[in-house]
Amino acid sequence: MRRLLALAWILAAPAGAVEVDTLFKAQVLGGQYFFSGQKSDLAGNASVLAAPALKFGEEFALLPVAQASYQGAKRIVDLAGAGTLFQEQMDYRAAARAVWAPRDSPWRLKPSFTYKYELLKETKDEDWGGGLFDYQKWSFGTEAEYVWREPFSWRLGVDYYEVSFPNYTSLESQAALQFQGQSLARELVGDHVLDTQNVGVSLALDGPLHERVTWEGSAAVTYRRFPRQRVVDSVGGLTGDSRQDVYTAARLAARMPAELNRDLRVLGALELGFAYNASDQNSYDAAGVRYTPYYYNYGEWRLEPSLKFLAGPQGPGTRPMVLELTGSWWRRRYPYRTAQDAAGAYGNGGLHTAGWSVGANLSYPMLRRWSLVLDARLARTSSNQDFEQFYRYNYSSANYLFGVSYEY
Amino acid sequence: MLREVSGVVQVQNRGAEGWVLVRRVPLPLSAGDRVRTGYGARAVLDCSDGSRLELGGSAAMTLVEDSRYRVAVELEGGPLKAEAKADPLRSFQLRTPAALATLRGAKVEVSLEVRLGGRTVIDLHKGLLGVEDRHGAAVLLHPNERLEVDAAGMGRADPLPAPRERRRLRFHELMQRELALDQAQDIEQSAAAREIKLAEYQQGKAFIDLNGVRVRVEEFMLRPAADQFKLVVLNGHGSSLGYFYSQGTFNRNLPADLSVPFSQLAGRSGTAPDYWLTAFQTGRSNGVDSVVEMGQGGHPVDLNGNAEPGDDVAWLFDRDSGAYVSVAGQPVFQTLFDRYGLYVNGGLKHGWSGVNLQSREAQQAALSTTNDPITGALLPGLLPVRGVNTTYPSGGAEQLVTESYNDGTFIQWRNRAFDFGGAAAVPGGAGPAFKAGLARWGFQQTITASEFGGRSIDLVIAPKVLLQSELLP
Repeated sequence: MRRLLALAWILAAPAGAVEVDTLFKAQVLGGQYFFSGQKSDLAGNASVLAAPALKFGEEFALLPVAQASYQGAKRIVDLAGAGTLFQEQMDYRAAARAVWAPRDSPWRLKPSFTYKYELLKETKDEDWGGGLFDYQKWSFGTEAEYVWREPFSWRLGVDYYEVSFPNYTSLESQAALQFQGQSLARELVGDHVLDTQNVGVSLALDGPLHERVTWEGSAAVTYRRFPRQRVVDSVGGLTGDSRQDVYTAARLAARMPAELNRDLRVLGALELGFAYNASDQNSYDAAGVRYTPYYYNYGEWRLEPSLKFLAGPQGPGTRPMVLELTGSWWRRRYPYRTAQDAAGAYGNGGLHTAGWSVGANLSYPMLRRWSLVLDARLARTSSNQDFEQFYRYNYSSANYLFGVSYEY
Repeated sequence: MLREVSGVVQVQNRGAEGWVLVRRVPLPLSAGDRVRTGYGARAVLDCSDGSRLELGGSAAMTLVEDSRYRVAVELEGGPLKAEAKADPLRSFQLRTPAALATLRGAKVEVSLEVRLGGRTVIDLHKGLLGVEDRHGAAVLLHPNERLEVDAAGMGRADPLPAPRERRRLRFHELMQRELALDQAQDIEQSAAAREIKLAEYQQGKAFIDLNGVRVRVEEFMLRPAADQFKLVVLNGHGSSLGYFYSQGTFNRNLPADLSVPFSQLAGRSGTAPDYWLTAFQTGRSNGVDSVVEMGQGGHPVDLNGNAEPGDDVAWLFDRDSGAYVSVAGQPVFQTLFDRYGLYVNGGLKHGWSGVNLQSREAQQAALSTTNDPITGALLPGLLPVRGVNTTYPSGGAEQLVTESYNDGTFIQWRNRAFDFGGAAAVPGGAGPAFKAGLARWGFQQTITASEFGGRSIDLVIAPKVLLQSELLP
């Protein structure tokens, strides 16, 4: 309690007692997106982040973060979604993270709060703020970190966050859905069916594995509730229960630096990840009159090797040229979904998707903290699902971006 | 001599296997003895030449030699501060996995830190220090200079940041790390929103139509009675809501799994179906205008076995495979309705009324003229005569069905396919070939009528719904 009072007192201290160190990032890029043989127009991306870190003595710090971004050039990591080359996105985010590190203690306590608003235009008839999949997210949580051997630590975090899609209400719930006096909606239908309430617990550790190899591991479990989305029953009706998911993810990574010579270093990394989503929500395909239990369950493996080359002098104040080569392979299996043929007829096997991507990113230092950035990515996604009337499961995509970045 | 400790400090004497916690100081040390510290701990050593060493937290060192000729310390990991004075008879050496540092001036104050991989960072505050790497390269370090040495060799000596600047850099590094953690957390949480969107796309609930605008689709099934189903398809186009529904009443109660009754909706070849519709109603609307079809008195008839060759069935839609299969020459049972009415904005346009009709020709022979076939109500005037013309314009990319009435009115059904992303697709062919092609694409139906006043009903419907119900001409 005394510590909390001390924190409150320090936070209320006059500005003169506070040291400020601002972290700043900005990027302006232009490029193109390619999707299955089609190419977009040349478009631009821009982002800016400012984080004026405040130091209140030796034990307390506060990191407020304000960031905004505009994306006009789609990237391969974006959802293929409706398949259009056209997509614009804006993000606004504000966050605050306090760090309390008691003197001579290996513990750090870090409460945090964030708010994010993402706006998306996927069609030319959607206006900013009117995108179907615009969403807002706010979260608060705290993280306890124990530095067991500088700079290695383990971190335990607990977060609560809500995601809401303000423009998405189910059509079925919309008012006056009657035809000649007959109701066309099911009882119990919800409106904002995509909104979620989430509680997440995470544990992350890192440490040395060998003289030059470090490892990182993390595990996280998120309980997700869709308060307005009712569970579908086996005949396509709705029950009184709300959908609940449990998402579990684990990741293991090894990193190894190597020096080829004084002016050329390499950082190799290999990451392995696994995730499983367990949901109590089912699906009823009304056109195909087919019930699929646990429709949203899936398991995913991911393997991501990378090589980062740093060329040039090292040490404080120096900025090497950085070339990063990344690869990614992933495979996802939906254990309860059944693959369909091109006409939508259901087969016997479970549905799975897989993909890979490769990318290269070059950051070439220029004046002061400015760098020239070149980035190119190529990806391929495939599946045993041949029914692609509305969503493409089998496609290639690529994008390139070039421009400048500033980082401090 | 270990003179001062705080926190966990352990000593391993030369030749011993175990580590011993230091409980009391001063503690004499001999050549070969090792010292290590826990997190946040600290150990201060006095050497025989008067030099002072301070080992920081999470560090380990070996006292290699402390004799009348030389004082040598090997730092294995972590931070070490040293203060030493020149002695003409003794040399003073600090060793690390990557470097060897030797006192050159009269007095030296130096901080060393051995980091991951043996990388050594040497900050010289006072005096002169000779530094060699493992390749034999050497440099003389001057006051307020920093040098980094690792397995690959030594770097360039750079000016040492001022203490205040060092603290600022340290804080900057810490905040950069916190910022990276903050950004990583946002990516993980935002991935949840991404997954939600992905599922919507995969289920065909949101996409782009032929006009390049957002279309939302929801399809669901209602079970109004034990022998009934009602399939509802809702379409959102911007702020407007269009819908289609198809309600059917079967000859018997329906099972929970509708796949068998629905597989017989289009008819069955070989034997009479177990399930058939006795009545149906479909509705299409844009919220203002509507087109409704109603049928009653449904019963199965072998159209290939009746007396009218004009209604023979050559192709039948198989909903399991989503394709048309040839049934020419086989008995084919399809449902014929004794009473049928087509209504536009509530007004009857076309219909028939009969009893136990056995062919499509018989239906056309029973066309209603004066009474509503469903309600039996007297019509205000004679029902106009209908003519139907079906074409496949745009190279087979669409089907245009035009119903022209002799009172000058019309209804036009424009059936089109579009591919993923909203571009027009070409199912190809005509009749069953066109319809089978539709099943492989997105399907958009646009209905215009003289009663609509220039408006239209635009619907995106899974084509299977219409094909299996014989709702496409």
